[in-house]
Amino acid sequence: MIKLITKIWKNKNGKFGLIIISVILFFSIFAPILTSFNPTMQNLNIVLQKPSFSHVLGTDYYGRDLFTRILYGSRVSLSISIIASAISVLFGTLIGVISGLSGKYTDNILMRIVDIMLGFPKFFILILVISMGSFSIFNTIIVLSLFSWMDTARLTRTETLLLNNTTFIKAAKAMGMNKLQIIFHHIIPNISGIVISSYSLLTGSMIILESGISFLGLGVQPPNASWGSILNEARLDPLGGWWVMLFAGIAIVTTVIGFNLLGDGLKEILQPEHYQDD
Amino acid sequence: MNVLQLKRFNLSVNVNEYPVKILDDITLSINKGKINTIIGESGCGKSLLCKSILKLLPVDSEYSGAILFNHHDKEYNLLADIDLQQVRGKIVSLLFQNPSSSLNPVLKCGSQIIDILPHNKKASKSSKIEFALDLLNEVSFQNPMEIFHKYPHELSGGEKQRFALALAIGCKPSLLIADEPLSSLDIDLKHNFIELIYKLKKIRKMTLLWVTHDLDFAQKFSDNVFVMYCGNIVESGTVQDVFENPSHPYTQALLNSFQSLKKDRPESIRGNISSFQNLPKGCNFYPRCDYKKSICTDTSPEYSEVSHGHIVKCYVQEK
Repeated sequence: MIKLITKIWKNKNGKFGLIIISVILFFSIFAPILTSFNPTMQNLNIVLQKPSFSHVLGTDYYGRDLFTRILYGSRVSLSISIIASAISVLFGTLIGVISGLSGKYTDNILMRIVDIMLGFPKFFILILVISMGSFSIFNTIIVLSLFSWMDTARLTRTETLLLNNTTFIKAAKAMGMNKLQIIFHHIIPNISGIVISSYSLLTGSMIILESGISFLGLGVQPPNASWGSILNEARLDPLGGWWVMLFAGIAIVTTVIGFNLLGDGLKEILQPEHYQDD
Repeated sequence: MNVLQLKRFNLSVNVNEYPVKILDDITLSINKGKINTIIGESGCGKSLLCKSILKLLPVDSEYSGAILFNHHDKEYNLLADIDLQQVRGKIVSLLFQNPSSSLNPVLKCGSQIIDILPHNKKASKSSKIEFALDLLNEVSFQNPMEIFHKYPHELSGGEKQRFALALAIGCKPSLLIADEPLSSLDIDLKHNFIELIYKLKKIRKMTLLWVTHDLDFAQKFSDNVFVMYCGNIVESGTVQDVFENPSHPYTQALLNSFQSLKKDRPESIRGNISSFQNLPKGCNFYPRCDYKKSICTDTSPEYSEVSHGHIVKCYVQEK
């Protein structure tokens, strides 16, 4: 782990990504210590105050401290996106490896399912499903991960197909390893780099999706905060309280950039030593 | 005693949805404790023959015939998956041509050795490490602990090949198939490697099946020789039989060009090797043969015995 972090540190993209994400995670984990305000308590005496020393990022329409709300909002946005992308990457890898190794009918059927799933407009399905049921973090995670595993599945399938033709997999077969051993000892370690970097990239896009849903009012319900719902509230008077929109937007953009940079860095670092075919 | 027997083994591989016959009517038997060598030019199906013995076939290939293996008075049918799982790695093992591609690049050498341990053996971690270090020591690594913690790409070419050998003999196989293991080594390492394999063969009482196109090596080190041409085994017998009394026109031409290399003027065999998509109807060698008869163009010859154990697949030798 320490080795991996030093490697990331040496990579330019990875370094920036790691710094950004560590800072954001730090803020979101230690939110109660870092701020003394309550994220949902309204104080109508200090409505829409500009950034000042007492309220670092100003206050919103109900007199709540924006800094506090962004910190607490990050907890919702980050936990949903991190967990949902973990589930979808794991599921996608599973499908991809099975599909790449089995070949023939299973492969065909699974890949057609992937094609069909990719054909759905993801965002509208999300809206539909969430508006039919009631919002809960659990539901959102399930729906988000149900519609995001396909890219990982395609990626890992291609890698598995490539790996399956390499000599060291043949050598492993010749040494009498069974399918499960080959999957866990040879295929998974070799594709883990791609899987991890695609996890980081997917987390970034999950944050955007989650903010989109919250922005439409389908996500976390007021008075609880999420980055998307803060943006939605800022819509009421975008010019009067410009800082609300600006800082919530910056939070989203920085986090997504952070995850993307980290993903790119990991992609370069975790590329296995070149393997060839004979 | 025969350990490995191939009986009329045929293999065709699909190329562009069209089956191409690569191995044609392979019949051979390998004696216990001997060094057997398959020689033949590049692309005549040597490597594929090795892989077929452990059923590592390309996708969509079709085969017929039988591959049987005798071990401790039990006969295994290597084309049946149930027997195959018991045999692969444990009784018959395969050493690949290019060591750098036959090792997993992302796993440390140590864990690759521990992986090949028979998995039903629930040994403690320390005994597994001990096993790995012993094995590395056996393939003459001076500092096994250091190799144990290295990745394959940190090893040199010769070390990689020895490490691949350690993996191949890890489960004490009784037959080791070596698919041109020397081709990626330089002269000095070659000799060390041959010595090492010799030593291991004696200690472990292994049977060896070498594939090579190095005739020098075949003549010096092997007991039995099989000559392959275009997916056929055209001649087989002991080294003396094949090298001193070559009976198939191809073997004669091959040895002739081999001898001529030592003189001033190298001679090659007339004509080109036929492509597998476009093999002649009768004997595969007749377009290049100096002794061809009319029958050669129509039907493929059968195996016939010249002397005891010296078998040739040619009409010219038939009486």
